[in-house]
Amino acid sequence: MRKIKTNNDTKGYRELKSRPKTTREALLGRLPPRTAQHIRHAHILKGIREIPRVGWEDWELAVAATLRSLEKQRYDKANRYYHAVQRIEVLLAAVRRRSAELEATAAELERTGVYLQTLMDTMVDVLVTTDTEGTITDVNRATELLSGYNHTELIGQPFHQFFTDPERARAGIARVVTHSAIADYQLILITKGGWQVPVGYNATVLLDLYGRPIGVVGNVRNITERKQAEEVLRRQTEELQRSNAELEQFAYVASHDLREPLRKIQAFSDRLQLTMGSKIDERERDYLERMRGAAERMQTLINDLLAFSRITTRAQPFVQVDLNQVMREVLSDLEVSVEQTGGRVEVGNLPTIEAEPTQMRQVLQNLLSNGLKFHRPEEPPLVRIYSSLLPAPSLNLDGRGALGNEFYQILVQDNGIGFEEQYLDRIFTLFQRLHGREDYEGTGMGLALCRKIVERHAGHITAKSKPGKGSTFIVTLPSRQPAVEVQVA
Amino acid sequence: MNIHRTPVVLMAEDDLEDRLLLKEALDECEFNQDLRFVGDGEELLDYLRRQGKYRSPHSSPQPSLILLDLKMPKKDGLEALKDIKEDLHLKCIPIVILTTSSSEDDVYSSYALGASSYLVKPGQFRLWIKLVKVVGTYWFEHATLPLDAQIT
Repeated sequence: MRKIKTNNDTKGYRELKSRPKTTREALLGRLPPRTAQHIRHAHILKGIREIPRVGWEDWELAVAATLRSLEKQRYDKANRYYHAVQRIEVLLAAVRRRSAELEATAAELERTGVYLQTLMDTMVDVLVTTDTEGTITDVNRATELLSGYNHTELIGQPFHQFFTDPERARAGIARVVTHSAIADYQLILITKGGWQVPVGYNATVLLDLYGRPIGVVGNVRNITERKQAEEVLRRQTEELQRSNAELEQFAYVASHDLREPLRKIQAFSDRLQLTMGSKIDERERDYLERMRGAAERMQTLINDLLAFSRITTRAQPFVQVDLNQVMREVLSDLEVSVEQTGGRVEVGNLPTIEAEPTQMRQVLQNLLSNGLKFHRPEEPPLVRIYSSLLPAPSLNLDGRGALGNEFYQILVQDNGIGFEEQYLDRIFTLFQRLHGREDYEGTGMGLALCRKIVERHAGHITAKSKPGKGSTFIVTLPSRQPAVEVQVA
Repeated sequence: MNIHRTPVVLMAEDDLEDRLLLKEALDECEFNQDLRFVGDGEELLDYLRRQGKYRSPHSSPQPSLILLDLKMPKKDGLEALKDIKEDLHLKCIPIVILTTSSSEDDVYSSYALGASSYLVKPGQFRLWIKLVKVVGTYWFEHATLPLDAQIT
């Protein structure tokens, strides 16, 4: 006899063993009622009333097969439950982990949110967020302060309705959406109190993850102060232009109306001298001569003054100037006075700089002719003109000139009478002279003219000297000039 | 040949002293001109067009030469010069600018508008004489003027 391979504790096995065996009813009694019913029905159809007794072995085999099948079903079922439970547990763990993460993120987000909100509310600039149509979606505290409207009065309202020119404001928003940003777009805000505030609108488009515009975040800056500063600057410029125009007018008046009476004095004193002829004596002739001379000097002074004012009123644009070329022209002009004084002029290499050529010529001509003029009686003049590139750190030009610019020194050195350096300021002042007219002629104009020209070129002029030991005039000039010249009358 | 009539010189000049200086210089040179004066550009054009107080031909014989000052009241010299040179009947009269201005702008504008010559008023009387002598000799002894040509 073979042992049936089922577990001892398999459900129903012990009961099966304890039951009387072999009858049909006993079998049917072990089956579920419906199945037994079907079997009975089948037997009836086949005309079988009694099933012959089945052999023990066959019976056990059949029962075992049935039981094993049942067992397998039960086992599979249990197994399925077990797996399901396990899966659920895994999922639950994932959910728990995930929710912990979410909580952390939420906390972080909240912190960030608070931080951003604080930042937005404490910042001085107005921050306005709108959707792409321009409807306000968020504002900060500064917005409320500037506009006078509170949060709820602003949110949901069209951005453009708060400006004097709504169409322009609307166009601004549209531009941000199409061009992704806008800078310093000028608008005039109308506050709740009815004030008009000039503002500059700077904005950037907000994009979603797919790069589609979803809104506009913009900064509205109160530019009243800037506008006022611009206004002040504009007025000052106007003022300056007006005063320049007046100066020009003055120059014109000086050149014509002041010269006119002088010319008459000259003409009629001359006429008098001619008509009187031999009828006047030497002393009377001298008086007339002095009158004429004084008128002539005044004429020169007026001409000098006019030339001085023309440095700025009749200024020409700066161009590249080769000072060597300018120097050659000056030398040819002064050839006669070099010969007359028996002097000598030595010229070194000079730079090419951005300047006004005629004015450079005036400077070099004045300095050179001074060098020739103020020579010691016993010694013919020797004037040396040379230049050097100035090492940058030694500059002290009161902030004049621009960074990255090169500065040249042009030195005019003579062996003449020299002067006390305590008079340094005086010699560069208009009509100031250190010598009597009878010793050295001139109106005291030359160096003042030089200084004004050099300063118009953002440069500097000074001199070193000792009486009897000659003088060196040092002109410092930048190689390049600023694009826009500041006109100072 | 020439009809012996005194050429008329018309001086447009508001400054009485300059008028005097020119007149005396002319006398000094013993030129025999009929010198007449107008005080500004408007008067000059009235004279030439025989308008206003210059209606009668006797009071305004056509000048052979105009001496024109630039700085004058009402209508200045350049404006008058422009008007004269745009007038078909007047544009032939030679115009000599006689002014105090030696400015480049004035010199260029004057010649551009058709002035025949540009002279700067001298300071000394002897220079006035010299100038008048040169101008008088040139225009009345050497140059042929439109009025003479018309008559011959």
